[in-house]
Amino acid sequence: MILVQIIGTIVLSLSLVRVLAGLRRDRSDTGALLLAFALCILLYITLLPEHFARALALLAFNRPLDAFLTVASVTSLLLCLWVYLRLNEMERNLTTVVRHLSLREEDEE
Amino acid sequence: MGGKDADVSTVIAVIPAYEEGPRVGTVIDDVRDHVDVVVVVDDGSVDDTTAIAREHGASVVRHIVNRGAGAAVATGIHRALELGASVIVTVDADGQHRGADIPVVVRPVLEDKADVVIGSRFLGGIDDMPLVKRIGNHSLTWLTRALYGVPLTDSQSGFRALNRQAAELFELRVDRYGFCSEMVGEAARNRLRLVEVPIRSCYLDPGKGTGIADGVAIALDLLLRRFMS
Repeated sequence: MILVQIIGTIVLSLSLVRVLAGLRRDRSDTGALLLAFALCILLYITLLPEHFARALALLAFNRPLDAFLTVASVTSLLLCLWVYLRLNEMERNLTTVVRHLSLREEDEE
Repeated sequence: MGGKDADVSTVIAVIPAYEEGPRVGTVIDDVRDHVDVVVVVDDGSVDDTTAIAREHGASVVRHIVNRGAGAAVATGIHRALELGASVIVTVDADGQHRGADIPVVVRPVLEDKADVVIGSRFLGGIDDMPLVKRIGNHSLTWLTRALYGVPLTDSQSGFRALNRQAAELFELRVDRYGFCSEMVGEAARNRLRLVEVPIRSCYLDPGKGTGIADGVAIALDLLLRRFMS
């Protein structure tokens, strides 16, 4: 293991522990979940770079255009999911307000 | 029946209604003899649903804008809890459920044999349900069973009864039709006793209610909620 791998492993491990500790406190934090996932991948690349290179070749990621299309597709899907969840949250907040108003109106009557 | 039979139990019916002016009065009259109070949640209708429900003696809560069946049921449950309900029974406003089945649905809760009761249309009998809805209902029931491990025959039935404890524990967050499966999930999450009883159901307006797009949205909500909670 070369020096850069050792430094990378230490930094990434510490970051991962910190993110996981945050996730333990608030399990609904999807941002932290995605960050933990990304850190796991980076840790894998740092620890097993040759294995990662072989895996990339196997998945045709070694060709730039294929890699770009795959990353773009996955990113788009994640973005759609994020927008859907945000819209859901907004709708829920709106419903809470509507419910509060309707129950208060009924009480006043 | 219901609360009128048991001294300490107050049975409140919650009827979510959207543009149901022509039917809501009949439904209230059909339900009223079997419960202590009828709460109608007018989910932002522009017709005379509110006026007719009040004429027929229901307590009406009115959403200023349409928020969906799930949101209306959750509002109704809030109201019923405020009114001191010990048992809450939800009934659809389109007339597909029969008031005469309320005692059957409420009985397991009153006898403390269940916390949540679902009136199963597929155990009892169902008239004129369109084929696409039948397939959709079975598919969503299968998905709900697979995700929550609860043996059910009709996860999408809106005819349900729940006790006060269950109503207070439930965190209902789905505004649209997905609330039916969400309730099952909440019952499983809180380890509540859930049973099904047979009911009869009749589709008076087969075009109304859950469509294919709603079914897909329910499935997506179910999956997201299961895996992100």
